[in-house]
Amino acid sequence: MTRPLTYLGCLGIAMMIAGCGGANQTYSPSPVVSQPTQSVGDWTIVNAVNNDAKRRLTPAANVTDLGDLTTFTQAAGFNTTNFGANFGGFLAQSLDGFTGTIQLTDVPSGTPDHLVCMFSSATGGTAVNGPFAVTPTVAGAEFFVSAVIPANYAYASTTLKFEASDSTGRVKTVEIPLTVRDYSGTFAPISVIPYDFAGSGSLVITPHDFPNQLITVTFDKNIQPGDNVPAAFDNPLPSNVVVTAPASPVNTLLLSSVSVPVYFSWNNLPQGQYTVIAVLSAPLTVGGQGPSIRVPCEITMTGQST
Amino acid sequence: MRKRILVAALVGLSAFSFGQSADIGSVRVGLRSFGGNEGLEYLNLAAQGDLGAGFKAEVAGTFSQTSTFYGNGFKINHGGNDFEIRGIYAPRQMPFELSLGLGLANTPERSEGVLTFRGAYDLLPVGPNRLAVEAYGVATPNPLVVAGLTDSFTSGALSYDVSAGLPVRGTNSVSTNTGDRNRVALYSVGAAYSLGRSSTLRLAITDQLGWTTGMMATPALGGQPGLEIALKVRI
Repeated sequence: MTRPLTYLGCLGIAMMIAGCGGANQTYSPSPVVSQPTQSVGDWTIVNAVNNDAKRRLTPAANVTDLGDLTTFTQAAGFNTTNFGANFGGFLAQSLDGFTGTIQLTDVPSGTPDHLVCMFSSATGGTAVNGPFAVTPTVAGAEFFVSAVIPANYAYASTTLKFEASDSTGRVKTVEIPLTVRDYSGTFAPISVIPYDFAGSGSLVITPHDFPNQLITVTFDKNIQPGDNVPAAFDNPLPSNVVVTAPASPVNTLLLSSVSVPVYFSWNNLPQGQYTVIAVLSAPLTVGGQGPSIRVPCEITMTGQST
Repeated sequence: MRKRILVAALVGLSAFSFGQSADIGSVRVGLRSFGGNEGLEYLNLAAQGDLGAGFKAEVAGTFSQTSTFYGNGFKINHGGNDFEIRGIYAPRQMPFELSLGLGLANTPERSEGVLTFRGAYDLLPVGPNRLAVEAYGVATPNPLVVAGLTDSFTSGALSYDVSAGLPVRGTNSVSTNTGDRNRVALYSVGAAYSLGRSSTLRLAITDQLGWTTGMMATPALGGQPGLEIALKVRI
């Protein structure tokens, strides 16, 4: 019985290998190749979060054009504060030949990590979440795209996607991949007594969507209006109080919270309630330092130290 | 939760199909973790039963999330799930093993049923060392054929294995430099330790994504190695 089965098996395999054709295809990885790229400007991100969890977005080094026109790539030296002008210009240039006013609309990509695109005619202008008109020119009409990152955003990779169409029904779809860095920090208030001349607390840093971030901790004794410091603690820590976080920079190897010791020392600290701002920052993927998170660290001196 | 259900299903299927007597099959569970460009973990589950007369049946699954690698001017979607049912013919008195399978791929590249095959011929059929030439892959649609060598050596409770293969038809990966489909060598180096009569623990370094034939023929992006820990229990 075995010999016939052996021959049958070999024959079956040989037939399958020899007989099958079709397009070249891998099993899992699937390339999505864009058309030739042009440089694009920077981004302005509308930050919709409070002071303990800000987000930084980094466009990856490609944009996939699913239409038949042009694509974009991220220029080196990206920063997060000035996106829009060149991008709008290139898009409008790529639409050269289209007629009339181009309608831009947000396109849900169908993936859970899609972000909502918003358009405006100028940096800091009123963002429009919906159809937005741009007139194509050879030079390229400028417009701006922004997005709101929801709190505790769980996706390290995401996209902005939108579609342009003209009066004749021609359509161009552009998808812009981004890398999101989202982390937050908290500090449990501490109480100290005068003649210890030193105290410590724990700053807890929680990465939300991207592990292995190297987060630097520094301290700012200038409280700013957006820091949301409780009124009772709205007193900057005196300049003679030394605040350090020797564990900085902190590497968040996994998507779990990291506790960072914060040390205070003083020779003379009057009784009262104080706040020092811990400033957390991490480098952008493509270089440079991103926006920082400001975490209030509250300290109560229970008595007079001198 | 879905992974737990799958484990339970595989174990349950084994018990249902092959009863409770000793050494009539095995259940395996393993995890492969890849860093680098792949950056994903793959859960592998398999249950195999001996049907007698040299025939075996196996159900296997490889499960992972999907992810996107961004290159310069392109992106690569990768990861995904794969499920496979194989019929295996490995007569004791003959130095070869053949199998045909039906796979159900749910990956960024394929969302379809596939016909899979594996074949191996022992060059050293006697003794503790087993050296074999092997071929495996996806027969249809869009053939992918990998040919290579595999060697294993057993000494007491320890056994060692090494394998290497290269696609000879079709492509099995995508270049992280250009975004073009390409052929990437497949390799695995492993060591297994017998935990008594019925269990074996295996550690391996490999660039192959999983245990189903399709995922076995697919390397991590860039061919970077991952680490596997797996447990096999004979039932």
